[in-house]
Amino acid sequence: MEIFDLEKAILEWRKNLFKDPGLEEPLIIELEEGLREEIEELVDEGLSEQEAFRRVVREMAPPEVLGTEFYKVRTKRRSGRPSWQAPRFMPALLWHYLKIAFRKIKRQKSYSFINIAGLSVGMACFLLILTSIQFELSYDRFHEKSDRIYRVAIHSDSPDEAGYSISTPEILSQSLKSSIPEVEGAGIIQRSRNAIFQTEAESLTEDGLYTDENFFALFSFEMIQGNRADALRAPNSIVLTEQMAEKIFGSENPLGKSLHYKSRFLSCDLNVTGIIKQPPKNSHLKFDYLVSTASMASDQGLSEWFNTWDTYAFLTYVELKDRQSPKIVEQKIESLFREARPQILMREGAVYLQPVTDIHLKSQVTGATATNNRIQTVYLFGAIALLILLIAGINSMNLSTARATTRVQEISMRKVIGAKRTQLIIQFIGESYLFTALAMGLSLLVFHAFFPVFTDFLGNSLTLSEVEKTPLILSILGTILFVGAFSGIYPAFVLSAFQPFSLQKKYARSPLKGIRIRNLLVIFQFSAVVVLMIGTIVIAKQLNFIKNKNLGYKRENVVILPLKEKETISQAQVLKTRLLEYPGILSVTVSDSTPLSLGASVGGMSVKNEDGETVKIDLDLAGVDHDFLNVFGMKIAQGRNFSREFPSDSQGVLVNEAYVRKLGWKDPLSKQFNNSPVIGVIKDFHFDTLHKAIGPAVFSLSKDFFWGRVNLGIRIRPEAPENTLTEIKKIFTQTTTGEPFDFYFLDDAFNGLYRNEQRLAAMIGYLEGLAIILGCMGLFGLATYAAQKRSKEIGIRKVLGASVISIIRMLSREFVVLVVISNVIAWPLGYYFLQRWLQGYAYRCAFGIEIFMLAGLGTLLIALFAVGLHTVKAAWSNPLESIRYE
Amino acid sequence: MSSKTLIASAAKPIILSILQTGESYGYQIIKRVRLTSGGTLEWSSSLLYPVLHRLEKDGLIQSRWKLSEKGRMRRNYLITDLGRKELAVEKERWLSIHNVLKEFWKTAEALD
Repeated sequence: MEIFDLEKAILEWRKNLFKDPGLEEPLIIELEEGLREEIEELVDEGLSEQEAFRRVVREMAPPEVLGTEFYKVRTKRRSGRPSWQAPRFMPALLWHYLKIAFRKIKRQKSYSFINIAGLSVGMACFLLILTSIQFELSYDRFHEKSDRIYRVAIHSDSPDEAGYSISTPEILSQSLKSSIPEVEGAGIIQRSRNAIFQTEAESLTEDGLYTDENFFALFSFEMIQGNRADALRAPNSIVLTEQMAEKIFGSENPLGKSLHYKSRFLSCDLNVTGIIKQPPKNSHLKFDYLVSTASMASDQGLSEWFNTWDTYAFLTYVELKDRQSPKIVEQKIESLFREARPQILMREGAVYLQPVTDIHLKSQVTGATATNNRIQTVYLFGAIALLILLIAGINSMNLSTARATTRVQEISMRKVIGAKRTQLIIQFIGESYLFTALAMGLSLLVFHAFFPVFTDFLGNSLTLSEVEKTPLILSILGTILFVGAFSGIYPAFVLSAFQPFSLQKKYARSPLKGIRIRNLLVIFQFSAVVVLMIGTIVIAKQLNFIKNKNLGYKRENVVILPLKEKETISQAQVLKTRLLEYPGILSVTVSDSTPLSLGASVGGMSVKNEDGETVKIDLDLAGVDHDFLNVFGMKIAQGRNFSREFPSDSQGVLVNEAYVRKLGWKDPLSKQFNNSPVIGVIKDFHFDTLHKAIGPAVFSLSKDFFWGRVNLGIRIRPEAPENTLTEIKKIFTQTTTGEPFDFYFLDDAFNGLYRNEQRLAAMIGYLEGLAIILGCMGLFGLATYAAQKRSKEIGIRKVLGASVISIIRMLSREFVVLVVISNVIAWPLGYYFLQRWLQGYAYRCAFGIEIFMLAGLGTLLIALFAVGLHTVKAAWSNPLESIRYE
Repeated sequence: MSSKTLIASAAKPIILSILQTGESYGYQIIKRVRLTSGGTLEWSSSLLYPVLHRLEKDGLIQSRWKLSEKGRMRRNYLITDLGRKELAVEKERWLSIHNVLKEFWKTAEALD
């Protein structure tokens, strides 16, 4: 241990004070005297000399502060700043910094390009995703009372399904208003799909809603013409959107005009009582027109849907009074049901008031009014967006620290001239912000160019003018703020920490810590790349699995012709007969079902199991004809298909294998369904997406189809489908009275079921590509750095006889290790996420280690490629060039 | 506790008051302030010495070098006539502020 020498310590201290120009000898003598006296006193109190010295010095201000204070006493300068100290703000320096920054950009074109391009692509991508997330989250918030409007949902009674149904009786909304004091208002809605509007020139097929006069009190859709309170009160009233009115009436004033309306349920003349603006795209209710429910109530066939607790035909929306808890109202609604129908089968707490703003992202109901998104997808996209931004930021960070070698001289010079560390830090962070701002400029161009493509791709067809500007501007500013700081702070601290005099020599060994952090960042980037790559592969595999899976029916060469009008439906058999006369058509079936969707789903139906006990199950019911199985190519497992030779078949049913399994039937052909004998068992086929397991289904010969929905299923010859279609259209228009000819191919519809997956796969694929490009840019920068740093070493090695190959190997090894570590981290993560994603499918592809190997190998190759260019260049370089120096 | 600016503005009258009672030097002044305030006022040398120099420059005090008991050079400060006059003015200022505050706080207490 060194012995403390007070005199020596004071000498050092005094020397230190002399460093500051503000402290002159008499001042220092005076200070020293005070210092000594205080130390002596402390020593007298029992402290050691060392402790006393330390304490006194610690309490004294540092020399530059003391010097400045003394200088202030003597100077006439108003600011009191000593002339040898840098001013706080130097406008000239600001220009100088800008000049230097732009000069750097100009001199190091490829580096600047990589940096700015990477940042701008990353930020553009981030902004695009952020905008779409913002849009998704904004659903239904434009309603003034959005925090008080709820949709009534009822939990289905069966034990199987954990789903809510949103079908409610019409009478509910009336009782809500009259007997629950917490309720401010309520209204009903039903969809009107593919209704046909007959105008003089043509007939239009449009989607809209049936609703009542409370609609405009609940929802804030903007009305242009007509009375909000009354427009939908009277029977035979219709409110049109601007566009629709223009389509039908052109430039004439549509108000008071009449038009003919035909749908599955209703066919009548309607009066236009109002014009509204097109509903915003972030509305879960989408419609081109609104028909008053009073028009249904006054129709003979439909009036039985009203004033009853037995027909669940409408959606009910409730507005609660301010600050009322939905929980209490839920209980009251439940008791309304129990009062009205004491025998009702409803579990405790079955009623659920779903906030209107939750409908779009958190709907877990069946029979929803629009294709809803899932909050999980939004989270997923958000996570990916953030990941891309981080990767881009890390790149910029890596590139600027790696470029430090080229700035050694600049930094040394600045320090020698007198730059303080804080000034350097400010300079480098400023540069980072300059880069970020330039990149943001570019990224806004990218954003603008790709916005339509992106939204189209997501399927929300949002236009830029519909995007809310304030959040967008805030996110742009926030992104600049974050990225600038994120990518600037670390390089700023590393660069400014160089010591001018030891700098150039020591740099060959380089600050080890910097390398470690950079390596960590590269590992982070590549782990993200590997996870995304595994994701892309597995999603593609699952999609391929879906495409090639034997679904139990044949979906090729089948045309589906939905019949929409009552008149056309009555002509179904005639159509069938006439179509069969055409040689291009193999077979035709009239039914309420397609293999993609059976007639009706029924929850909690009572049926008998093997032991004759009554159990409740969810099942699908289909009304079909003798040719249904034939057209769609399903197979019979036991018994037989419906046959015209057995007239009694009209009483019988077919069930699927899932049904037999569900009830544990040993001999299904001896069983009955609702007193109808089972005549055959259909081999299981997937009538839903592969997300769900095949459920029980029952098929019967039927004349009145569920919900009046009727399709013609037409199996055509694969040759010349265009001719066949023309023929079908000809026959259709001849047989029907003006219904528009509308058809689709079964396999197109099938592919449509997986559009979300395809979108997700494509999206992740693109983002994966982006992440790879960005990650490679970072590696490229690092490789440049590494090759430069070791250029002398390489030269010497070559002189001593190293081969080009061995040098390439040496330089790549470091990066290979990083990529391998990334893989080790990414594999379990990727496995975890995919496991969770695949759980959404009842039927899923198998995936094994080979996917991980593939992703690992892929990233390794990509990394080697990115690193390769510089490595090879460095390895080939003439050793003379690099050693000649010094 | 006392804010920084208050301590700084009180430095001048305090130093003048101490020097009124006789010649003194830097560290002694610090100690007397510490003692008189009961430890609530702790001056640092970076506060005191510049103020002493400023007062000297303004002619309120003057300094002379003396040998201390330990035989070291020490700078002692004395108050000048100008300094005494300045102290009287300062005293008046501080007392008037003191009285105003006292009155306010008395009524405030009465209202409580």
